[in-house]
Parts: sequence; structure tokens; C-alpha cells
Amino acid sequence: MRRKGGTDLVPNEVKLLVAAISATSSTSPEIHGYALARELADLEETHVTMSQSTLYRALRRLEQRGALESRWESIEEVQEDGRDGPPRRYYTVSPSGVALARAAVQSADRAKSSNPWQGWVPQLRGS
Amino acid sequence: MASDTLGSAHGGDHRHRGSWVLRAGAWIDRALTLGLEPEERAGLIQERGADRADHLADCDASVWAVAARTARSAVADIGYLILGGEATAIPVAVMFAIIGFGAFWQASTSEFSLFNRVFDGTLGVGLIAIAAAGLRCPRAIYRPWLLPAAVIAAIGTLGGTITIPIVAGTEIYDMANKGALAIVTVGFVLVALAVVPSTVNRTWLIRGGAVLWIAALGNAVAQVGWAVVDAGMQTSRGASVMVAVGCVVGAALLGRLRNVPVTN
Repeated sequence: MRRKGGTDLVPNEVKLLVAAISATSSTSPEIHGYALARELADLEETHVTMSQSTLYRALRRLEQRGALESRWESIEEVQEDGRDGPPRRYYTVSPSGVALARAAVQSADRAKSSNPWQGWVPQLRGS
Repeated sequence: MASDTLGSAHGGDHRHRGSWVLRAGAWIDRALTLGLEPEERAGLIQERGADRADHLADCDASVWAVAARTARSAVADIGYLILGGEATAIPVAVMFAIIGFGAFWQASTSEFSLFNRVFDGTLGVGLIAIAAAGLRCPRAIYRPWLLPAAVIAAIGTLGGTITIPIVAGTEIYDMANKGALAIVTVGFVLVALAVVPSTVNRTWLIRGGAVLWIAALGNAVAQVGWAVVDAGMQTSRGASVMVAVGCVVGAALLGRLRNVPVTN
């Protein structure tokens, strides 16, 4: 996907990265897809969780960019957890993912603090 | 290993009740991922299956919420199958161009007042300018063109709302078109306001798009009614059908714009 400027992340990717950082810690550094979707919904104060199609496509792109790392849960771990569903895929935010998220948030903060009247005049310049 | 309370064993009964959602979801995933590399496809189906099982085991979620999310996912998958994985404004731009030409066609063939035809033409200019913005910069929301284009389109629809006559025999379609144009005006104003800030207010852009979607469906009904019923407007039947098709398909595609980046 061709992207323009900033961190090169589209809004959904930034949101997921921020939610993953928010939900993980040094004691529990991994998160699975549905828990991430729930965390994002909580952060956005909505009951609507991101659809599987959108969620996992965005996670694949973040993983390809090196922002996330993943591993499959083993059958033993599923049994230890007492679940009867299929194994989950767990994600960890990489150091470059943290840096990307920080840059994206700073970029959004800068845009918010810029002159609010600036946008009233369309700037006729090329992409 | 990660620890969490989502999707743990306490959701067993809940999951048993909703096992049909898991089965249906798995079949939908299999159908909509045909053509992917076998390894990638297997991983994707397994990950989505685990997600659905976790969602079903979540005490805060009903079986219907899981079913609705599965349906939303299927719609998104179909969109990706048809339009590809990239966020692009081209399909929406083509549809806006079709409606724009339809509006010009109506302006040139309509038997309504000169004012009404001028406003139809104005709407045509606005819609084609929106289409041009999408084609000029298909991977971005191109503010420099989109803002004035939305304003011109809003002027056109507002004028149309005021000047469209209520004619005996087609009153219901005239009224439907008047109402739909009024709502479309609100939609274009919301879109214009959303693209005023240089960062673009995506929440209001999506809300404006949703308003346009609702109004477009209403307008499509009016246009089809005109095309079928009104013998006096036979010359613009084609225009009415063109606008109706453009409204329905274009509206369905608007949601694709939510992830398109901004170009100033």
C-alpha cells in the first residue's frame, strides 16, 4: 500500500499498535487478536469490536513492517488454559513498533496543536 | 504466556449455545479465503476461529454480537475480493462521476424550471469535481479539490431541494427526491466541514458519508420511480436510472474511504 508522509501507517494500524502497547506489559508482553480488539474498543469507548477481516489484515501488515512479532500457542498451552477452542496467535510489540507508535502519536499531537484556521484555505499544491 | 480473562473456560455454556456461529464463520472464512496460499489460508482460518471462540466466551458479548461481527467481516472480505486490499478512492470516484453525468443529463433534458436545471448542473459540477479529486489522488483524500467540490455539490442539492416541483401523478417520487436532496445537502455540508481541518476529521467524514448513503438510497427510489412512472420525462429516464445506480453503488463504496490517508 502506498502511503504518504509521517509514519506511513494508516489510522487502523496506529490504533492497533497503541492498543497493543497499552494492553501489554513486562509481565504479560503478549496479546491475542480478540483481546486486542476488545482493548481497542475499550480505548475508543465503543461496544463495536473491529471485524476479523480488518483486524487480521492490519496485524499482518504491522507484522510485515516489523512493528509486531507473533507466535502460535501450543496445544499444551491451550489445555493448560482449560479452553476447547483452537490455538491462538499471540502478538508482541517490537522496539521498532514502539518507536513507530510514538512517532505516529507525536505526529497526531503536532497536527492537533497547529493553527486551526490554517485548514480553511485550501492549499492548491500537488501530492 | 499471556494471561487474560477473555475466552477462558467460564464461557463454555455460552460457546455451546453459539456453536452454529463458529461453524458458519468457519465456512464463510473458507469460502472467502479461496485463492490464498494454503499455509496463509490455514493460519488465517485458524486465527479467526480462535478469535470467534474467544468472542463467544466473552461474558460481555451475546451470540448475536458474534454473528453480527462475523457478518461485518464477511462484507469486508467481499470488498477486499472485489476491490483489492488497498484503500483507494477510484471506485467511489467513478460512481460519483456517473451520478455527475446523470445530473448533467437531467439538467439538459428535464422539463422542470430553468432554476432547477441550473442547480442540477451545479450538482453535476460538484460531483464530477469530487470524482476528479478521487482520480487525481486515488490513494489519498485530496482536500484542495474535495473541499470546494463538496461545497459546490451542497449548493446544487440545496437549490434542487428548493426548486424541484411537486407534479400531479408523480407526487410521491417528487417528495422523495426533495427529501433525499435535503438530506444529501446535509451530507455534503458534513463532508465539507470534515475536510476543513488539515488533518481531516475522519469521524465526521464517515458520518457525512453515512448521511449521503441513506439519502442516496432514498434518491435512488425516487429516480427509479420517475424512470418507470413519468411518461412526460421519458427523455431523462436514462439519466434517472444512471443516477439511481450511481447512488446505490457509490454509497456502498463510501465506507472504503475511512482508511485512505490525507493529502494537503
